[in-house]
Amino acid sequence: MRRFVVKVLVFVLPFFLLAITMEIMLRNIPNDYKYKAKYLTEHSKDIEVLILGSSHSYADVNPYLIPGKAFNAAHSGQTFEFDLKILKKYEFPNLRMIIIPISYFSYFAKLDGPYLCKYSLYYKLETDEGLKTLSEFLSYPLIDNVRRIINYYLKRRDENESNKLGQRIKRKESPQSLEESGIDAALRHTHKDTKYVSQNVSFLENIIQIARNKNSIVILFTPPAYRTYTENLDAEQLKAMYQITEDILKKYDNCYYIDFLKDTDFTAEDFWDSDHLNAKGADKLTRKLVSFIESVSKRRN
Amino acid sequence: MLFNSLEFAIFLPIVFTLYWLIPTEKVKLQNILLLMASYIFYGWWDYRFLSLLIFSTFVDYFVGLALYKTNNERKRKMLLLTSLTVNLGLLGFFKYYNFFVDNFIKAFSFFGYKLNARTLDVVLPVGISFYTFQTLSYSIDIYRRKMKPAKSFIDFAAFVSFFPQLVAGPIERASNLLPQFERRRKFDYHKAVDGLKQISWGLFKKMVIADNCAVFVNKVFATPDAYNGSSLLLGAIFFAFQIYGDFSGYSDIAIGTAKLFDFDLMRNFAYPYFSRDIAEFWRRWHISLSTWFRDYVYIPLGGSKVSKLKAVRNTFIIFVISGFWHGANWTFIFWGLLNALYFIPLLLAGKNRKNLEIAAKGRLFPSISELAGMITTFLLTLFAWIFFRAQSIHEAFKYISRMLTSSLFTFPDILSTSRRSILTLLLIIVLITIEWIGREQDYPIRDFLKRRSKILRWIFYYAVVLSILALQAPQQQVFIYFQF
Repeated sequence: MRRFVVKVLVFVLPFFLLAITMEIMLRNIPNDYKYKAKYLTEHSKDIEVLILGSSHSYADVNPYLIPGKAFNAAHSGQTFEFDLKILKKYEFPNLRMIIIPISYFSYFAKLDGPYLCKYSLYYKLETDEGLKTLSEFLSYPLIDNVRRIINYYLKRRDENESNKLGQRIKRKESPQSLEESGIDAALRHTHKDTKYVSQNVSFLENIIQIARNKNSIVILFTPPAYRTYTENLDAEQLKAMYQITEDILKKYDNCYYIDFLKDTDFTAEDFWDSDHLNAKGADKLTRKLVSFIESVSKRRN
Repeated sequence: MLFNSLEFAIFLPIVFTLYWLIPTEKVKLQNILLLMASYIFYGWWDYRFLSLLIFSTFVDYFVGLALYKTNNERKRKMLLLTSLTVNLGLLGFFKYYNFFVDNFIKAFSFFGYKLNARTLDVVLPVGISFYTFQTLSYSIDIYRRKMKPAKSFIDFAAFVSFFPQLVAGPIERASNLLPQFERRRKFDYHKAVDGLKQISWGLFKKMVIADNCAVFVNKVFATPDAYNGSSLLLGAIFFAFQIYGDFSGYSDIAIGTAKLFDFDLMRNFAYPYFSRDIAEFWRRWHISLSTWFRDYVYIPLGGSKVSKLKAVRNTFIIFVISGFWHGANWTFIFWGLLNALYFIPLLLAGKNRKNLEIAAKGRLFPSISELAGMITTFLLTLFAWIFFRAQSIHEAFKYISRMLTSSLFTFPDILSTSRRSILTLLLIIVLITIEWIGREQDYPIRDFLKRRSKILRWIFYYAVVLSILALQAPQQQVFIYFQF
């Protein structure tokens, strides 16, 4: 027994040391989560307009073009669950407005995979996906971690992709073709399972209620997408997305919605890939959002 | 708790240490520990369903005792019926209720009647199909007077809930596993090392092979229209290795874990893709389930020692039930029927027990006829897997019709759009090679480099673990057989 235990420990020790070393190195790499968590800790009391949501607002909404002190706290794949957690954690005493995308997948998705660890490690938020989310090393395959370490420590490339106000302005990967990425993304965003819908609706409603308590409004928008994406969406899921949104709008008087999904003002030149805008497209969308917000303000007054 | 989770990586060493700290003569104490560990393991997923497991355990324990005590045949039959009703009733409700209600509604509406029945939002308790069959085997064996009931409730409860095989098998026979809970277990260094090797091989199959295959399988089966025929063929091949890696990987981890506690579980997979005919495939795939059906359904029906017509009927019954056991969907039933159709010609020709030994035993390369047999069997299996994986029979036919077009003979576009798919294909080739080399062992790496130096062996073990860490799929997938 002792021989077995000793041998197992000797065998495991190098892996353990490797894991600890890599964990420290990985956590040291600057990334958007770390940056935004720090920014929110220091400036949440100043923020008037908070942009939440997934990559559809992370890349598509430019906070510099929004009147007032705006900050983009969106991240890739961020669901209403984590939007709510961020909103609750930082409180935002001067909040006037929250902008959240209602994408095709928003009510159906649950955040999983490597991103989860970022919320527990940098935002210090609770996740219910097990101990793995407490470690960068365990959240990614080893090969990806090696690549990340080489990129930062040898090639001096960090993992920050956003500007000072949180909008994603650069990407590690090169753009995919609009044709190919449409099918891929539509497929990735189609969920045959509706088990997360009620949870997600409840998270969103919670966000709207918090906003109402702060006398703030919530702007919901469906971002534009290229035809290769919209043509491959599941009609039922899309219909459900609109229906749920409509039901929410009926319930809350501080909530407004605008749909850009098939807005023909957005052409191929505005897209980075089939469901994300490039800088030019993001500015175009943000301007449209601003004029919508102005019309909402007029209506409310 | 998943075998490939950090939670399990912490849980197992703790249970292992506590278990062997208990003096080996205190078997009862060791069993209590295993029982508690098993309930924690199961409750980690959803503690509410522990009550079902405990209820099933109570029923079968007391039915077993009562069966043993009475010689009144009528009473014995009633007792067996109680066990069958409770176990199959729970299984039926949780697994098949919605399927039957749905199909009744459809059948009635076909004849113009509107049936007011509601499906329920029922969650399938993990492992219910596995532990139900395990406890049933206990009651049936006592009824048949093949074994005595468990000496204590703790032993029996530990047998039913033994965590390595609780949620996805192997489905143990009480006559094999229960006596192991009643005997004294001793720590065996070589057995423990063997267990660790088997666990690492299982993890490799699950995390590297199955999970990487799943990425592409999910894509091509969701939108077959988006891919050319050769990509769909590749998608089906990926699924064949996904389900094999997933399920046989789980079995290897289970068997290896049991070895750490000085338990021997039955073998569940024996290189099924090297089978030369379908009968051999079914002797090598999910052995614990096939033999369960053989012992408790096929043989009581008369097996093959009846008229040809009845033997054919029995074969159909077995395969359809086996398909239905996998899930409440017509696709599984169709999959079972298809396998019955593959099997029956062999049965009628009396060739169903032709290939009992592993292919090319004692040789490095198979003969041409063996190779042809293996390829044919694999292709037949592949065709059936499409029905197993598809969401509906209609979708399966859609997939097949799209696959069997002239684009089947073009380059798979899935390989040109993703480097990971090429890596996955290479990994499958590595798996096949290692399995072929080690096919005469219980699992292929058992005796790998056995006669070589210790350093070489350690390098190999490090390579296996590193390859798991390095090549695991970006997204962890739940074990497929958890849904059954």
